[in-house]
Amino acid sequence: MVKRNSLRGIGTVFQFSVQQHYKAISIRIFLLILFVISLASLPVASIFLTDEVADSSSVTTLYLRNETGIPFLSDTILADERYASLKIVETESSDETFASLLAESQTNMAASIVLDEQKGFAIKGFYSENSSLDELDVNTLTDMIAEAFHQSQMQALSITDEQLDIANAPYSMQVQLISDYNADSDQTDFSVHGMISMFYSMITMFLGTLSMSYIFQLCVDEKNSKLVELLLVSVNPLAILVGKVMAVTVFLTAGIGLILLGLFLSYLITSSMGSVEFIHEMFETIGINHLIDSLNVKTILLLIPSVFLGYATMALLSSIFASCCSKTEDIQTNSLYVALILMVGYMVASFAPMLESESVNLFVSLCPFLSVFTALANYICGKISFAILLLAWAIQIALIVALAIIAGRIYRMMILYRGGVPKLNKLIAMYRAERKQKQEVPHEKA
Amino acid sequence: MGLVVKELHKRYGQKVVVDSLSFSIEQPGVYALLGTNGAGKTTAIRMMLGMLAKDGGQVFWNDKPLSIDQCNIGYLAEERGLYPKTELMDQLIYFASLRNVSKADAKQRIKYWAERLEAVEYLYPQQEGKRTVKPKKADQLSKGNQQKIQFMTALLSDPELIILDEPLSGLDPVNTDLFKSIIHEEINKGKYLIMSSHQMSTIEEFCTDLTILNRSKTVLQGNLADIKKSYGRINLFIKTEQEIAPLITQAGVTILSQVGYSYQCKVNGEDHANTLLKLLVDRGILLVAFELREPSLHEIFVEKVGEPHGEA
Repeated sequence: MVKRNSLRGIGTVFQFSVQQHYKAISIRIFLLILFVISLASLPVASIFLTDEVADSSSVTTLYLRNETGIPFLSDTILADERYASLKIVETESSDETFASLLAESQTNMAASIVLDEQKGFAIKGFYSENSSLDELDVNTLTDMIAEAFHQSQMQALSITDEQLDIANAPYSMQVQLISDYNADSDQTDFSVHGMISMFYSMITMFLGTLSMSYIFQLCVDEKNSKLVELLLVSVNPLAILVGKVMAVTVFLTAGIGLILLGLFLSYLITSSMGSVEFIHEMFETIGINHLIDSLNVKTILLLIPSVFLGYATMALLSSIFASCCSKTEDIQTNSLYVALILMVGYMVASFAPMLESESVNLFVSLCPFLSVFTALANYICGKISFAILLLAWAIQIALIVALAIIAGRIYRMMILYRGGVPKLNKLIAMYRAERKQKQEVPHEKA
Repeated sequence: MGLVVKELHKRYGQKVVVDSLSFSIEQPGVYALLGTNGAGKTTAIRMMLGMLAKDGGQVFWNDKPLSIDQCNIGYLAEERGLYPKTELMDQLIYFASLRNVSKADAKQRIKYWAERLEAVEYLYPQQEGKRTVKPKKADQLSKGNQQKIQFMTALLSDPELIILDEPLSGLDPVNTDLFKSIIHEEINKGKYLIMSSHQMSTIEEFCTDLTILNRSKTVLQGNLADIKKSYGRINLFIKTEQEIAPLITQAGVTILSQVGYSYQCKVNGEDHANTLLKLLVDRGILLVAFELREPSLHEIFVEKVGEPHGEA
């Protein structure tokens, strides 16, 4: 007599699924490409950015008419690598005589700086219709003239950059109760909260979407292989499902791990080649510097269980919908429901911070399904306490257990089902019948 | 001891697909589950194995509810399948592992069955001149050879209870004989087998007891020898060298079919056959063959389900 337990079945299904996945040459090639792309990403980006800086301007001579009376600091332009060989000629020529100056060479450019009492300062760049210069050349140099003129203004007024930053710094106004002020003292403002919330919910959405496509494909492939009946005399349906979900977890973890490893090595290579300052500048330009600042050991430690719970919730949800698919065409219809849930979660996580409401933050942190998208970000931004985060996790675990039971039962129920995707009422009726049988014959596992 | 099926019942909506099916297999051997297409055989098997929810009934193995955890079951499903792109050896080891057979043990058993089923070339690398040819994948095999691999998966764990749903369908005569010889070996090893087939002559060759289902209901059940005996010897085969149809009709015997001067007839009993024999002898008819026999399973089946059902 063969004695088995469900854990053994799970392990075997998991091992086989992983082994077969990585045996496929297409998968190995795909992973290799992924790794090479991540490895090459930063050095290539660095080369492109450096090239952009190193490209010298096509303009050889600039005729500049300064009508403002403020001494123009030409050195500011010439200090830039691109304009190191540029000849700047200050002139008092009129707009009409500019044309003849520009006609002398195809690489000449003229510019005027004027002060209009109504409109303020105006900087105009000119180039000839016969010029070999393109609009980008002219625009870039005009921008440089504007920047240099700004510096000239500051110097004329004896103002330093720091003084200017302070003078131009933005400010906001807020009226609130002193008790609220004291309670919210460590909270992040809503734009940062929104960004962090969006980022963490994006991780859940990303993993949920990837796992969804894998799980749907695995479930349909199993049905199409017509091996289900043979599997069912060997192993519990739940073991098949859990084994496959675990295998998908490995595929995703390995894929993401490979990308992160590639990026890490890429960073090391880039830093050995030169400066990696452009990465930080890029983060700042995109506006995710706050996000990077929020990443520390504590948040990463909290991120791991949060991501796992989010992934497990979405993977089990995918399993339930995937169980109802009999053929590849069914995947499109059913995966749409999961995608919809993922989108709702993501949208709520992105927009809830705008409301700046304590009760909304509490609700979305504890609400099943939404919680996996919002709870961690709300905690990191100080919108909920650690106790609430723990409560959110407890609710998520309870939801995962419930989903696992339902997924196992629906998978068992639908594994031999062939035909169109059943409607919800039919599915509920089938589920009730299955449950009724379980209750009537509790001792039967077969 | 053995398998007991009690009042197994299943309905889809208002339609009853298995209606209170009960039977038991007390001794090792083959039990036949017969029926027309859609009679409920496969549904009954799926319910017995717990793959399908029962609306009623119970199934016991050695006095305990049948479960995959306490009974080693070998199953060849009607709906055959293999992973198309996975190496056959990997699939076989996987299925053996799911039945708690160690990898080393599984490899030994696969080797035995590969030789026994003449499937070595599909499972192991082959040397063709200086070139080593990789083993084939499932989608590169013919239907019959795929069936060999599926049969192997059913037997790999050395099961106590073997359920074979249409095991010989789609096989050529050589492979049919090969499968038959293996089924005989399993019977001799003392295994319990449940077999469902449309090939009555095959079933007749193996089975001791049977159930015939027609439109979800049990229409005949019992020991095959007893069933045949209860029908009596009513089938008469006559072969002569001249036309005797008028004489057969004169004796009140029904002619079922005639090919040349060979006649398949139905009599009411042995006395009825003797009357015809006397008549033929009195008329000086030269009899090449005059055989009175019990009805075949095929004939019993056709009679019970009320429609002809040719052997597949």
